[in-house]
Amino acid sequence: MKRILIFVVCLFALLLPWRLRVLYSDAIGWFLQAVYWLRFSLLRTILRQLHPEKTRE
Amino acid sequence: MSEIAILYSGGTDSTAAAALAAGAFPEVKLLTFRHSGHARIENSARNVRRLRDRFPDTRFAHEYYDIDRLYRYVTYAEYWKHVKRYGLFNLATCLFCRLAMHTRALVYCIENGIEHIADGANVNSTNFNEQMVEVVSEIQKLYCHFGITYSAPVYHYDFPTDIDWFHKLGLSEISRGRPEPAAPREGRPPALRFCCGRTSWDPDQPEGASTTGEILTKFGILDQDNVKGTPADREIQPRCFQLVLLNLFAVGYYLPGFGLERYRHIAHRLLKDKITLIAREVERYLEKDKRSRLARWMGPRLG
Repeated sequence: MKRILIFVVCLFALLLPWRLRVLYSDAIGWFLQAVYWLRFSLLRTILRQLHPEKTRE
Repeated sequence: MSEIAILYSGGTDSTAAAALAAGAFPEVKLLTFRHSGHARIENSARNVRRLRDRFPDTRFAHEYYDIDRLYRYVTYAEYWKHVKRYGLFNLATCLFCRLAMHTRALVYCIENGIEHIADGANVNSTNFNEQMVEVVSEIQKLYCHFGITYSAPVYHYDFPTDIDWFHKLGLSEISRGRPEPAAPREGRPPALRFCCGRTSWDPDQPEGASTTGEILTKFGILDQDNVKGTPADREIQPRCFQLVLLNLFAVGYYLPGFGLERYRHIAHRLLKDKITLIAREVERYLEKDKRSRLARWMGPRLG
């Protein structure tokens, strides 16, 4: 299922002209960054709560 | 040997290449490129200042060039023929970007009479696509065709193993189980050098460095060994999300189904086709100069 989804996303990109492809890549890139940022922020918060003595500024 | 051009992003690999070149050349031209989707290219200037402080006898000239139209040409030249032949491999954005950069650098070297060029290509880089040995080999042939010697002085250095995800989270103080750093190397990793009919240069590699970050700390340019993937790494080089399509295709779709060997074979064939087109355009440029298509695609110097 994951491979099919990726294939569709890539196939769409293959048909796009230059500017739209750049915007499309940027949109996917920012979306994935947002997902990573949420995950990392959550992890950082949890780790800081678990190790308050080590992470004190 | 008086001058060398370096394809320079500002990251640890290209900065290490520049530092090694500084020991062998009195003048080092650092070429940074910009195209659509590329942001914060001014980040690359940070390590240039450190290089100038560390090597006061070497003249570092840092120049920015726009390669947007050239990159577009490399991507879309004979597009439907290539789509029919190579399918989704036409999303190899990083490969085409690299080729556009090398094309611009090649013309720069020809126009300025520079006989040596180098970059921070590294076989262990996570951006594996454009740094595969087949790719580097084809690119050196392109340079050699026009009488320029290409080298990759940090090609065989290791990727740092002693960075875990705590460091990438910016919480290195919590990391207890930090993996062991790679054992210091005996001697020096061999630089990838291609002579192209003339004497190549000998990089002045520091003893015991196994990663490019360690080269820079041994030279006193950086104060921490390995910054790859950390917030500090993002502050020293441009940001680009164009690689996302290639990564989705390669890592998420092609490699799990067809394997690395087949991937490398097809990417190599596609690159050879693109290089044939590029070589033809560079020859036309040299014949017709400002009236050729390449003259129109080459963007201006920035800044």
